[in-house]
Amino acid sequence: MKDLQRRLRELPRQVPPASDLWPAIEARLGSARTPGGRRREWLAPSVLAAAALLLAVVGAYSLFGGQAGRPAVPSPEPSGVVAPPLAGETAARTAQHFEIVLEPLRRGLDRRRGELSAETLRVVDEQLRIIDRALAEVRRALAADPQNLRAERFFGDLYLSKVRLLEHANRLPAGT
Amino acid sequence: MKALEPTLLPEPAEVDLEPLVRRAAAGSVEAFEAIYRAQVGRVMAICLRLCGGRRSEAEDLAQETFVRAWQKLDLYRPGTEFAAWLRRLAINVVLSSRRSARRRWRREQSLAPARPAASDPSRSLDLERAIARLPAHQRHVLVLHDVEGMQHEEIARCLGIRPGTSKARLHRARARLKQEFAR
Repeated sequence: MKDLQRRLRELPRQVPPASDLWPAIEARLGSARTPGGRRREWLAPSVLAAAALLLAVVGAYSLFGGQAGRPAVPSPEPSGVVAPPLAGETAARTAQHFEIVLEPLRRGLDRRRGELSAETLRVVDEQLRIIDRALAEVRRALAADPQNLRAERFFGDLYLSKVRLLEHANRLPAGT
Repeated sequence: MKALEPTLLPEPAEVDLEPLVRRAAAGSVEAFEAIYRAQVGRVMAICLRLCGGRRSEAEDLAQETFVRAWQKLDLYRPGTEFAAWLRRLAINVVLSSRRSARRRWRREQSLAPARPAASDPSRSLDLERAIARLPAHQRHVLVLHDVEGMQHEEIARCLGIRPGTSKARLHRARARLKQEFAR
């Protein structure tokens, strides 16, 4: 019985929805009210540029068999982009958290470099560079506006893309 | 019925919700979206388990939870734990939905007896399926007590039952799970 209770306590605390619920929620907020009315916080142009880069990442990722909703990817090669220090405490914690997750994935990919084809490695490394450039862009946006929530969230999304890419690369069959 | 799938996502970094809640209460949709991003996994987990693993129903209820949270933000007392407030709201949304949906409830009762877990019971997916097969009144208490860590007094208030009834249902739910995995 104690084993059963332990397993119940250890069940995953997070279960992501199959699709993003936010658009439907946001649409319904329009008819709701809160004190003070609503206002939008617009993205800085540099963040929009990063968003475009992420779209490129997603497109390239889907080309070599990535599955939406599944964790994947890391980045081994330094991008050469100099990232400014993080301004916001939350963004700093996000970066710290994901770097811990990414480290073993990077090592795993490095170990597999002899097993994967040159073409696959080229695609993976290129995507990692794109993500790193996008991360640097968002860091700059956050440095200019630490309260930019959309940039903060996009920062986390980019890191998650990196994790997914590396996880996927680590799962690819030898010879791919 | 679509069963729970354990998440492969890393646990998100802890987000300080208080400043976001203050901004959302002042009308910032952006701040509320950030709250949603930080909490949707937790809310979804609660809804999915209380619903017995029916994903589309759980997603509807998770969505309803966030809409009600937006509407009730001015009732949240700063200084108390917002995540716990949101969790309680999700539980209320699920339970009130189920109370008003008698037909769905009866259908669930008729589906409840199910085949035992087929494979390795040590896997959490099997455990999730076994939880989903429990009768709703036992599953609610088990999820709230053993997964969410709530006390019987609080569970009793949520479910409108006596604490002793909550304890009895928990005992039966655990015994049923244990019996299932012993087969």
